[in-house]
Amino acid sequence: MSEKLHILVVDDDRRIAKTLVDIFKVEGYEAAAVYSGPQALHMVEKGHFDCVLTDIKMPEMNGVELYRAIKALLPELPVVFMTGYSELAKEGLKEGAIATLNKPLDINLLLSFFSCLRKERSIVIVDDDPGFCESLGGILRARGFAVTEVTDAHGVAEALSPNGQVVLLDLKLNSVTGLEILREIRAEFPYLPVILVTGYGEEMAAAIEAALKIDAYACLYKPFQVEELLQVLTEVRHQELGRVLGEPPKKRK
Amino acid sequence: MIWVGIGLGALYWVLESAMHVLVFHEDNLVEAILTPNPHELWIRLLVVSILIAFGVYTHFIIAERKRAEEALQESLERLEEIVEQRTKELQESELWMRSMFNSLEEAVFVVTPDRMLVNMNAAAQGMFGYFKDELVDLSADVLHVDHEHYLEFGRRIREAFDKGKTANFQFELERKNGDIFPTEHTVSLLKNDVGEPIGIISVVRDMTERKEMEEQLVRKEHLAILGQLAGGVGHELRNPLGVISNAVYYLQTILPDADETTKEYLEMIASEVGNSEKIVSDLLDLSRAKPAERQEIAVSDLVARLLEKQPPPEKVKVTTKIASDLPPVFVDSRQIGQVLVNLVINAYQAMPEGGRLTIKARAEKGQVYLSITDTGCGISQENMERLFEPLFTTKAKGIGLGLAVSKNLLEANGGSIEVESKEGKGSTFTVILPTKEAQA
Repeated sequence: MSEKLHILVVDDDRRIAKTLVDIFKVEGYEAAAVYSGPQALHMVEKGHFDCVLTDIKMPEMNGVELYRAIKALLPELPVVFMTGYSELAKEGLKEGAIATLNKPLDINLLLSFFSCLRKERSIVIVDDDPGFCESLGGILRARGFAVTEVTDAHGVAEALSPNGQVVLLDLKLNSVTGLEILREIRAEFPYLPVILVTGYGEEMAAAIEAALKIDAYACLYKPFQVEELLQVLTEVRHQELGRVLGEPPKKRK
Repeated sequence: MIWVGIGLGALYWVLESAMHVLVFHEDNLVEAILTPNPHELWIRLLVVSILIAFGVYTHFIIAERKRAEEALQESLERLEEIVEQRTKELQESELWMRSMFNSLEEAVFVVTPDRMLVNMNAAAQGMFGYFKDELVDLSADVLHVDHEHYLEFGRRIREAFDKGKTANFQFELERKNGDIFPTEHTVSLLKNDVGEPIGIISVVRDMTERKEMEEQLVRKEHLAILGQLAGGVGHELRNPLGVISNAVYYLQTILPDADETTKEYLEMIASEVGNSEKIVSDLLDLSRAKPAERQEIAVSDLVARLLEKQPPPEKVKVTTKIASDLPPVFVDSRQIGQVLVNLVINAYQAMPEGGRLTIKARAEKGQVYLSITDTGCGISQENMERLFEPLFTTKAKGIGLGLAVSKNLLEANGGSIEVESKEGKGSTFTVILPTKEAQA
């Protein structure tokens, strides 16, 4: 992604919207300001944005309502609330908004958030079935992800880096169990998101539970729909982005 | 007695006969007894009859008297019985009255119409700290704050009595130890059958606790209103602060080569926005503590983070004494972290000339006592009472929210805070934090 990030700022206080847009432009981003929810929705429908920053308390349509409308339209588009603490924002967060930031905004924090947004999304598939690796890798590459396939349990550590990756881990491998690999990953990269994949849901129930306890994000049962995986990946990404902004991790149902 | 009469008659007969023998020198006594002279016979018969009649009469009189005496005795006995029973009833009822009188929670005083103390119950003695003997026959003046109060009390009850009412009002009185305390009175006039006043009975309730509760309630309401106001104002200030902060950031970014003064001023604005933001956060925390998100955390971690965030100024030496076997505390680490930051900043500020900061932690009964002690200026007794009131401050800079917020946050986390201080010697703030077991 060499193109500049496009950021939409929504605030009925025009001075906030304007100053933020000016700052983002100075910092090398594309940014647009709108002053109401419906205007924002119109912009999102029409143009391409990588992130929406919205105030919560606005006439006509509040920030959480705007988030819901955007989510229905573009579930992957990250939305961040700008407000003080409010119950309303909490609802939005539960439904999947990235984070709530207090005004005055910590610009440096926002900038590091944007740089995370720019990062390529990289996925490491750990599975001893080369056919599975190849087919899933192909699908994900086509969706714009960078993909690394690992079919040998001993090669996992080399393939990983602390940031920007998501691991898809098969729970049943020939030599080493997925659970042990997960423990190794956790020991070195405590925050790296790991999604479990297994074809043996019932037999592996105990292992799955143990894995979820040491912070595996979710478990997918083969055969799964690609859409299902993409949805989980979006959730993981949003959670990772939230972590950058200081939001505590959400527990998945 | 009939027989006495007959006997007397016979005796008379014999004596009379004997007299005849002696006087008239008759030879035979027996003849004289059996055959008296016919002219004497009538007299003798008359006298004998009289004597017998006397005997009979006396007999009846005595019998009559005896009967009367017996009846009298009987009724006397009955009377005695009745008296005994009545006395018993009276004693019982007296006991009832006295125990009722003494078991009343309200103090009851009985005074004469000119307000001399006559009687009082146990509660009255307890409430005022006097024994009954110390008060009886004294003027009720002794229970009043001063003579002026005594007179005012008199005016109030007279006013009600003049209207034929019972007097109900609140009034301050004085205990034996000199404490003045709020009371509520119900005062009635006692009258005899013909309506003359014979005394005054006064029921007194100690209002100290209720007053305190009321005051606490009012304080709480004040706090709630203050909190709402603070929250509202704080929230409204966030937008303007946001605009200023954004503008400064923008200027600082596009003016990297500005002259030193401009840079300095921009830096000033930025840092003051930061300070204002801190105040706004405190206001919001005060108005409604965010629900605590509690997890187990080691006290040593809390303290390490604290000292990392708030390193001591140059002349302050920090000592930590944290027992190694402390259980983890069950709190919102961010909130409690904020509490500790507040306490440590206060401690540093109390020691502008330097000193020693001691952080200690020990466990007791499922709670961890974490104390922060400074060797600073200490807190005066008078300030001690208001320490946790919002907007109370002794600092030139600061609006007095730190400790109020800290207390709120601690309470939201199932903890509490205690203070000890000696003016000129230093202060110790101890936060008491729950462990998970203690919460379960």
